[in-house]
Amino acid sequence: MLPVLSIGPLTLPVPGLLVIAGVALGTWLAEKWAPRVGLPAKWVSDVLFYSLLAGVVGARLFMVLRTPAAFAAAPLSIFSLNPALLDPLGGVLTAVAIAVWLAARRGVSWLRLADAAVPFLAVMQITWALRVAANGEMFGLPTRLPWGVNLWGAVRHPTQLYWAVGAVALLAWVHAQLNRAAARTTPPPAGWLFWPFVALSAAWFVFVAGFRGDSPVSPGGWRLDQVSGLVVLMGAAVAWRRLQEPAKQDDLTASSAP
Amino acid sequence: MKVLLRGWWWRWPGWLLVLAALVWTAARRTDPAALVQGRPPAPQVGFQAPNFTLTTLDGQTLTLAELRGQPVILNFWASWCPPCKAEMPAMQRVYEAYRARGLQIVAVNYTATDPLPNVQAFVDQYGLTFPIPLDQEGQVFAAYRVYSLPTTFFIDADGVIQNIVIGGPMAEALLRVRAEALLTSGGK
Repeated sequence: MLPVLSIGPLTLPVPGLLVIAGVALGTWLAEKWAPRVGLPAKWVSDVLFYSLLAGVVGARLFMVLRTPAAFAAAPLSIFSLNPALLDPLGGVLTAVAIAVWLAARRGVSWLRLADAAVPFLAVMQITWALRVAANGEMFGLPTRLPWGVNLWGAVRHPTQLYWAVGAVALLAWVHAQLNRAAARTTPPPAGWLFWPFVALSAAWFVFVAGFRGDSPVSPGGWRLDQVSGLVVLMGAAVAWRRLQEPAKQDDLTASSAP
Repeated sequence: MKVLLRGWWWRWPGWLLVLAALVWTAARRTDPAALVQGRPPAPQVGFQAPNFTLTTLDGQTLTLAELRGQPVILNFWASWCPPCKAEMPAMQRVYEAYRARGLQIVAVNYTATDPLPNVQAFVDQYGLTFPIPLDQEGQVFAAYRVYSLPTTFFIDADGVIQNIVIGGPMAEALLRVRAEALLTSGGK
């Protein structure tokens, strides 16, 4: 756990730095690998930039809409730099909406753009896992395993590190898939990278969540983080499976590069 | 057998992933009480806030556990810390707005590094009316692992930490959002 890093008189918030590093590295990697998905590097980089910007603005607007009384009492807070005043779901919805709109404007399938965004998502997954580790969140159940970590009064499963290790392995898998795609003569169908990536990420999250000591639990004893991961996994798996059908293999026109 | 091997389930391993995840999710069902049972107090979301007893600036004794039953905003500050100066007026306004509904604000001063005359001058300058416990030895700062000033813990009426904000200054709207959450739904 390392929420802040003190360098002389400077105190730097480690979780925030990790997110910024993830955005920078993820955007760079997505731009570098975009040609392997059949999209122009500069365009992918621009779409990511504008979507992220819109995501931040959308996250604040959703927060204002959700809690209007608080902002009516302190209107200047709308411009506050506090990340805690951002609504994560609102931010993601806005960023995705803007990305889909930009793709449609250029005549690119949103799934093809999603394939190009996978390196960005894979890097963000790693930095997010490290971010929760720095905050001491998503801590594990007590364990006697030799790699247990002492946190919050007990030796616990290092669930954040389990998550991070899986996310690193997924990034390596993404790299291998993109190398294979670059060697192919015909482009794979749109979503060929995105759906398996989402399915594998969700499956790993479901696995790791089983060791968490802070899961929200439903009355029936189901861990809600596992259940939500399972829903995402099943949705992505269905989409992934549909890509295997012969008709989809030939359907390259709608998803071809501009 | 040949028919089975020709099926999509043989060529596509994704279904195994879904099946394994389903089995694992069912196997890891748990009693919610078991997750929190035996947790020692700790300065982390979901844990009981560590208790302390300190003398306040006006000579009273304040014990955090005695505030159980009311939501508490526990702020750590020092007069030499610029973001603390920036957020204290908002803290006072929020205290005045929510005090009648039962919200308590406790602002622990890092007296180990902050001379008492400076603390008194700061409190007078900003007209602070909530309790200011004095951490002369820094033991409460250590118990709460305060690495950066200001740091603020939002504690529900059961004494459980619901949110933590490290650093500042906090926007007034954030204080109001968190206060409202603590008062309406226990912050959960």
